[in-house]
Amino acid sequence: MNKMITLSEIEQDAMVESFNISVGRAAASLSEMLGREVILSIPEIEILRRDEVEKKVGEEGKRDIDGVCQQFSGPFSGRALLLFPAENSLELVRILLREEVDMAFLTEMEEEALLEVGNILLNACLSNFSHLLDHEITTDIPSSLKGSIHEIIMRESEKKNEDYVLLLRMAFVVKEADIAGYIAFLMDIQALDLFRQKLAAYFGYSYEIPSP
Amino acid sequence: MTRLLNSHPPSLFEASLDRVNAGIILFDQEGLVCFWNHWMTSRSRLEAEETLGRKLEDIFPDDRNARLESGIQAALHQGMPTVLSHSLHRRPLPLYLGERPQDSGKRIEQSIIIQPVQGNTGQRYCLFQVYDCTASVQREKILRRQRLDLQLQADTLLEAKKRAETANRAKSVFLANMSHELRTPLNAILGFSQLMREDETVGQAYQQDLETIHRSGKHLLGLINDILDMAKIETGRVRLEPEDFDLEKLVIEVKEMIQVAARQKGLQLLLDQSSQLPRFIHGDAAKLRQILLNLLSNAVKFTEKGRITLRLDCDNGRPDLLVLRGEVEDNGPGIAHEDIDRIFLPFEQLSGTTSQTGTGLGLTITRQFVELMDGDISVKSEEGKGSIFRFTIRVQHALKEISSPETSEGAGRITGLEKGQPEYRIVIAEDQQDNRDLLKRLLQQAGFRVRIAENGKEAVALFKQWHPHLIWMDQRMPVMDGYTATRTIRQLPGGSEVKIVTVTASVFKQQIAEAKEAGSDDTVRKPYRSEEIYQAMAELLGLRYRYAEKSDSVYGNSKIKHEISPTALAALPKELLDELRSAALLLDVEQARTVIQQIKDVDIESSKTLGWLIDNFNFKSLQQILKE
Repeated sequence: MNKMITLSEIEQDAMVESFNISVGRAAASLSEMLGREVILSIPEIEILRRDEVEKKVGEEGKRDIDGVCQQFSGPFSGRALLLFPAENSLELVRILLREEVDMAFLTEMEEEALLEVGNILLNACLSNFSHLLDHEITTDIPSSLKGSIHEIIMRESEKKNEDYVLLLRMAFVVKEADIAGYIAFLMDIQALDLFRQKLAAYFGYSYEIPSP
Repeated sequence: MTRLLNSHPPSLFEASLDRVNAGIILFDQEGLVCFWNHWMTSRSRLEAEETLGRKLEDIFPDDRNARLESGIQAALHQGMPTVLSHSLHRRPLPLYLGERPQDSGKRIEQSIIIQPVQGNTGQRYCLFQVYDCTASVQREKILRRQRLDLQLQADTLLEAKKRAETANRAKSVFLANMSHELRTPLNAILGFSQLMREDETVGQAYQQDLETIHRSGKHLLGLINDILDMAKIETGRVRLEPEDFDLEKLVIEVKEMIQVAARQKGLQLLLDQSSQLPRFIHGDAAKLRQILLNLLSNAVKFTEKGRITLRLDCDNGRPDLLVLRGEVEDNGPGIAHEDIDRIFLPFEQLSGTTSQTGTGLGLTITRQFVELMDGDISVKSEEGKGSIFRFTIRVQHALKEISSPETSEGAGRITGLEKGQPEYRIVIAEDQQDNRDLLKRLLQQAGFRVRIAENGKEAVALFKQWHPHLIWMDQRMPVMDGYTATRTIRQLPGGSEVKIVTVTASVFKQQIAEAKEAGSDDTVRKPYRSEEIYQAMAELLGLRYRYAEKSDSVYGNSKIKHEISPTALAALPKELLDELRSAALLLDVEQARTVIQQIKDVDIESSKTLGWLIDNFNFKSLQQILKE
């Protein structure tokens, strides 16, 4: 059984700050592209063991979602996920696309648009990783995901034995609509430790690598 | 043919990429084109040679796009891919289908993927793919248009449904209001004409006129009730209200009611009941009564001479079920074959019938009631010979034997209260003067002390000041309605002891429940019969009335035999009969009354019958009787 990880206050602050910067950049590029204001905020970051995810996302985790997945590799590899409850992703895409006719589901074209939004956001976060680690992280092209948040995280993390999830709850504000979703990074323990270590070095606080 | 890394002749992979059915461009680490496939050439009209070694923004200087440029940079320098969806970018590059751009004019719909690729020498390239998604876009457009059409259709239907529902609700409200409006004045007409019929000071000459007014009023009430029944059926508000009841008594009552009309037309009315028929059954008595009345009065209405027969039978083989079979046969004109299917439809009256009176709803209502009781109704008719209406209904055996108490109707007219009872204070809360006066007359006649309130507020004030025993509370009044007044009074000191009876002109059962909820002890519907008023008070206050002798009243004459047997007549003193005969010949009412008064001492029953004939000015019958 893997141990539970609790972030210290300073570590929590460091993570929020670093992601805020990169997500801020992503929001700016979305705004520019759409010609309208897009605000993205990250209120919470947690590191969860795979089996804790279900409890954490609770009822929300059981709802159907539309998601985007991008595999990344570099000094460590893993999967980056953007996850929206289905009705939120519908709303988000329709606000972005100014669609007037509501379909009950994401159409092919809408799904592709969501893929692009996911691509912008996940790239922004991953380039933040890359910056912190001072090492290139490359990614694959994004793909679509369907299922519940919990199902997706379990299914994706099992593929490569990634036991830990860096979970960011993120709010999208576009034209008075409040849309909330998650960004999740699935990593193994070595990758996670490396990330935390680099983060500590960047912000200048001490971080001890836990003995295995 | 495109040059990829200057290889010549082209490798197998170069040749393959050239034939891919999508736009493929490769950029080297400087961002310069090093491969441009055939698909790109045919859509951009640029040969590979024209693009090699150039940047994208130099190839298409009029279509610079920050996302495309930064995408190429991200792939080359960060190893990150970029996706440009069609929905967010539409047609970023000047690519056309067809031979020349000016032919088709319109750019193809595009989606673009920009990716890093690692060469075998460790150098990084950027793979740029363009897809033509015109077909998907077209498909989606059609889908959206259909969806929009469907939505519009659904909206239109919903709107129409809403309008229909609103109209239907408006109709129900209108009918409820009309029922109130129509029944309220009718209450005064029926009430006062009855009072006058009982009034001995009203000359005999007017009695027949009064009888006509009263009968017409009742007829009008019947018509209004038909329309309301139909409205209730249409709005689905008709429910069965089963109870134990005396079937035999119901049949006799129905027969008596029809008998009057039948006799006026000289028709014979026969009743043929099976001995199997139980006396008490469990079912909806009011609806069964209406079924019988409708069928019989129809038969009377359309038959000019001959007879009408009511046959009743039953199938009581099962303990839990009783199938009642009824049949009304007449020898009227019959119904034409082509009309048979129409007669149960609402608002249809057959043309060519001699007397067209009524609403034409009677048979529709009858059929609805029969079907409500799980039965069916049919008609067999032969033109010129008559018709037979047959129906069955499902009822149950009575749960227990019931005693049917004599109604006060049989006891004669009330002239006051029995001695030794307290003086009762009664409040009438009613905004309508006519109805107020009617009720006041009825109550004062029986010896009650009466005070008037013209609305609910006045009723509350009067309750506080005068402490009445009972309040007649009209439901609809200005300023404060009956329910509010009742609730208010129930909250006051002593408010739980006073008896409150709601008077309503509404025919909907729901009103009774509402009245009860407001704290009312009982409900009486307009138009009411005076007996209903007296009986409600007797029950609530536990009081006892004094009755006038039956014979001094025209009222209650249904209890009087209308024929005298020859033996009874023969037993009367000859001189009295002679005097009566001459009075009858001279049409001298006063003289006839004097003689009948004397006959009363000898034979009360015969005197009543003779008196009834005189009261109805039926000298012809009188002469006929006395001749024999």
